Amino acid sequence: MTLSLLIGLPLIGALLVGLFPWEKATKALTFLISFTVFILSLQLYTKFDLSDAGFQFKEIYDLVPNLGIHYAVGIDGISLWLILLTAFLVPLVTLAGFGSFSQRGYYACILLLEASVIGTLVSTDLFLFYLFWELMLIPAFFLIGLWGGPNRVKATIKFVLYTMLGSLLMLVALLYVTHEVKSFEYVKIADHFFAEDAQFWCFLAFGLAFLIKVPLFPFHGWLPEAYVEAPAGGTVLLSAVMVKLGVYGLLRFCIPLFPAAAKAFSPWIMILAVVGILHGALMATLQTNFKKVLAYSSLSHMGMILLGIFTFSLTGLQGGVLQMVSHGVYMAGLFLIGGMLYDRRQSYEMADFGGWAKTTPVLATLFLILMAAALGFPGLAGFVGEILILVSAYKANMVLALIAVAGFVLSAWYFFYLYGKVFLGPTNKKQKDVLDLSAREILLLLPLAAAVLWIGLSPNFFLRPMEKSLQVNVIERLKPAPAMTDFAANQRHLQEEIEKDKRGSR
Amino acid sequence: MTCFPLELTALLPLWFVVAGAMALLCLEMFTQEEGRKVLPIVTVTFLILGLGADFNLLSHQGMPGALFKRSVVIDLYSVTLQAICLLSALLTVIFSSAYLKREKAVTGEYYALILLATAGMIVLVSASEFLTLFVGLELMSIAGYVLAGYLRIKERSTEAALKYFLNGVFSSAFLLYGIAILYGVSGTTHFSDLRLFIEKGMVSPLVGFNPTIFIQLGAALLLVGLGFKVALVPFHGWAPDVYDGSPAPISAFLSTGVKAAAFGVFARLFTEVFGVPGSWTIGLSVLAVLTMTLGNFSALAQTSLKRLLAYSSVAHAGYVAVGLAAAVGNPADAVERAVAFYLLAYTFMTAGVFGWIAWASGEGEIKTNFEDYRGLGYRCPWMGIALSIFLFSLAGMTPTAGFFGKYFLFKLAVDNGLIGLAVVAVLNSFVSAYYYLRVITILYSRPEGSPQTGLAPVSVGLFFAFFLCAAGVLMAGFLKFPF
Repeated sequence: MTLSLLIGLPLIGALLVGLFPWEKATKALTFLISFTVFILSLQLYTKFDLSDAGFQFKEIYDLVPNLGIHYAVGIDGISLWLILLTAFLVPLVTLAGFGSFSQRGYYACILLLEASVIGTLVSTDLFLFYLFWELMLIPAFFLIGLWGGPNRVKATIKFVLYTMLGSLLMLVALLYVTHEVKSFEYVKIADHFFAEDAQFWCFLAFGLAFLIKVPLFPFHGWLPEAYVEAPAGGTVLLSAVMVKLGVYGLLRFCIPLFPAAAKAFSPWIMILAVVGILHGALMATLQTNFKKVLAYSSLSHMGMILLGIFTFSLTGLQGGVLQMVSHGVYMAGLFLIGGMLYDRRQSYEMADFGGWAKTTPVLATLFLILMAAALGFPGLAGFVGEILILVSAYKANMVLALIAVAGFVLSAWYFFYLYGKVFLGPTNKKQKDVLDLSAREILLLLPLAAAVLWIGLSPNFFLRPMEKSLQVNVIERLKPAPAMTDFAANQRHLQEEIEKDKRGSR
Repeated sequence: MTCFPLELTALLPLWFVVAGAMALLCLEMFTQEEGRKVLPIVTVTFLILGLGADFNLLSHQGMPGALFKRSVVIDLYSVTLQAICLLSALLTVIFSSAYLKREKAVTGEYYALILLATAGMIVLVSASEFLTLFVGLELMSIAGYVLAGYLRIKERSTEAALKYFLNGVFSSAFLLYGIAILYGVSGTTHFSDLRLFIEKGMVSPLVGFNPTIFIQLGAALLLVGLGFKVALVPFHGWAPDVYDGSPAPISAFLSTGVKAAAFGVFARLFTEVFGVPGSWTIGLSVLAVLTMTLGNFSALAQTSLKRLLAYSSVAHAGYVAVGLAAAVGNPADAVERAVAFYLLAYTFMTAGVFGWIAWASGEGEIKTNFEDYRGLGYRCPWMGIALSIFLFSLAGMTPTAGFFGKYFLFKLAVDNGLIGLAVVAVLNSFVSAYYYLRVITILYSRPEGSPQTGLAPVSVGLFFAFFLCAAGVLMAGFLKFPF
């Protein structure tokens, strides 16, 4: 029941908050629901069976009986942390919105987004996965389009269209896959052997949907505008949660389902990932708008995660997943602080700030901690993941790893530049009476800072549950099949052999 | 005559609708201005009775099958389509009642014509013989021509009626010619006999000719005739002007009920009767691609919501044609199920939007541009949500019925190996998302200048109709489909 509650509570909450005019109770109700979801989600960790690599907390009911579509959910070590991350961040995002938003639509969208993200992460039925995957777009569309900055309409349409293009092509591939296997069940599909050329096209179609979401380098056109125009809470949900689903999709679907194609594509994706790291980092150094700096740095770090994953080594995969969690935490913190700065100055331009470390010391300190985590400072969240990724990337391809390290150096550059511009230097005379963080703001940043420290200091706590699942559900599937387990393929193979013999004898 | 009671009960929806039409014509004679309030209520009552009869049929296990000397067939497919047509008429009547009052044009004929057109649809979708098909089609169309030009003092409405009439008559000629050829070559007008003739290669009355060519020719002429009715490119020329020019509730009726009935019989003919010869796949695919692409790209350029819907209606006909193009190799009932589901979904969402336009466009239906709706989502939150739901569904986003409908149709194409066609179809769906979402963003952008006034309050009936559409859009995908 836990998983259904995790989807159902925010879903019902979204309806309650959205449809009933309890203006005063809206905020409290939203926070209460999202916090309950977080508490419930902790159960997933405490009851998680480390020795089991398959799906746990399984539930299965009929959804569309005529078609054999089930409501089938379950989690493994890969999705565990992402669910916990989502459940952890949503109450904070809700809390962060208290200052600026009072419309119930905003809170309904956040809850609907939470439900669909968790739904995407736990679905073990491909159709259900697709339902949630697309459902996610609707609240995101409204979050950016209704409560965003001045260019919000263009940004939200661009974001939705980019995502839709990918997911519609994925729909065709999904139709093909389910037609071949005659089932929507993930486990059955994963055990099915697809012909090489089918794998190629399916990987492209599924991959495009996920890589646009991540986004990989040439598909990142939607990112800067969407991140900048979205309200702070929306940006947090986008950068910390939604883009992770792209990587999750690759890990869950693209790689295990189409292993041969994944191997064939992995060098290209690694190259593009490294290009993305450099591109994001270089673009970040050029910006004058600090939200854009954060947006491009997020792009750069997502490239790092992809680089780790496509090494297909256990360390690389672990590093990638861990980095997803850490990136989610510190990016959430940085974007939330960005929102707080905006609330105080009504601007994202770095030139409008300066010397804020003196006027708002608490804010500056918390920003420094989260920034250090993003830089990969040892002992903080970013470090472990990046080291694991870089070590395995170095083993896979030395040149790429060395270029990726340059991304590290650049990130130090643009982050320190950002910090210097905003928090150091002479104080602007107009901003003498800027207030430091309120109790609410500190309350919502402290858990993030604590999480950053926790991940940095005891990474094994986070790495252990995912190890077995990554090993069994990803790496094992990439190994060439020992004997042809697929009867049809075996037959085909035999047929070819016989024909070869015939030709030979002639 | 022993089976008379069965024939009576199986066609109960038809009797209800025809009786309703008669009753309305009588009522209209005896009522004055004030008494005309009851007209829509009477109409709705008869439609609900008809729907009830359909649900009663669906809830029983066995279906009566062929009746009236095999001229109509009552099976799950025809009953489902009957229900869709009745639903479309029901929504139209509810949207009309407020609309006609506003336009000061309440008459009994209007409602009687809607019921007569519905009767035509019921005959059309249940036909299992070509002459019955033609009678149903004409009954439906002639009532439709009059309804399109109902507001006869408005030029646009008259233009719509004339265009619809001329094109409709033209297409009927094609249809009749096709029927004549099929009769000439096979000596029968019954679907099932023709099917046997095609399968078994019976002796043709035409000595010395290859019957296959004539069957194909007849089928092609039927394709053109029905293609006109459902507005497939290149037979779509009339559609945008007619849907745009007709009174908004009638646009809803023409683009959902009439189209559903025509597509219903189209799918039955090409799956059950002709069995779509393999060589036709390419032709139908080309039609589908042209229809989707042209409809969507024309819709991109529109600035009026009503006209956008008119073009998107063309595009949606293309999606259904994708399913028909994939009819080879798929079992007939799978194709029919997908088509019927899509028509149901399409009825909910398109009737919803046209009804919404009827409500929001103000007296004389002048406010149909996007700009007229700027910020409306804030002033009327419920109506804003309703329109957003319909548009999301038209764009094919989950978990709406529009998504499920497209899913079933494109699944047919993929199951049949037409992956290229499916890719073109989803890319079209992608293009369409742009213009639907743009409308939603305008609906929720802050109004510039003084907010407009003059939005009619939503009456209980209207609220019920919108609620029905929205609930249908959200729930339809998860319901157990009758077949």
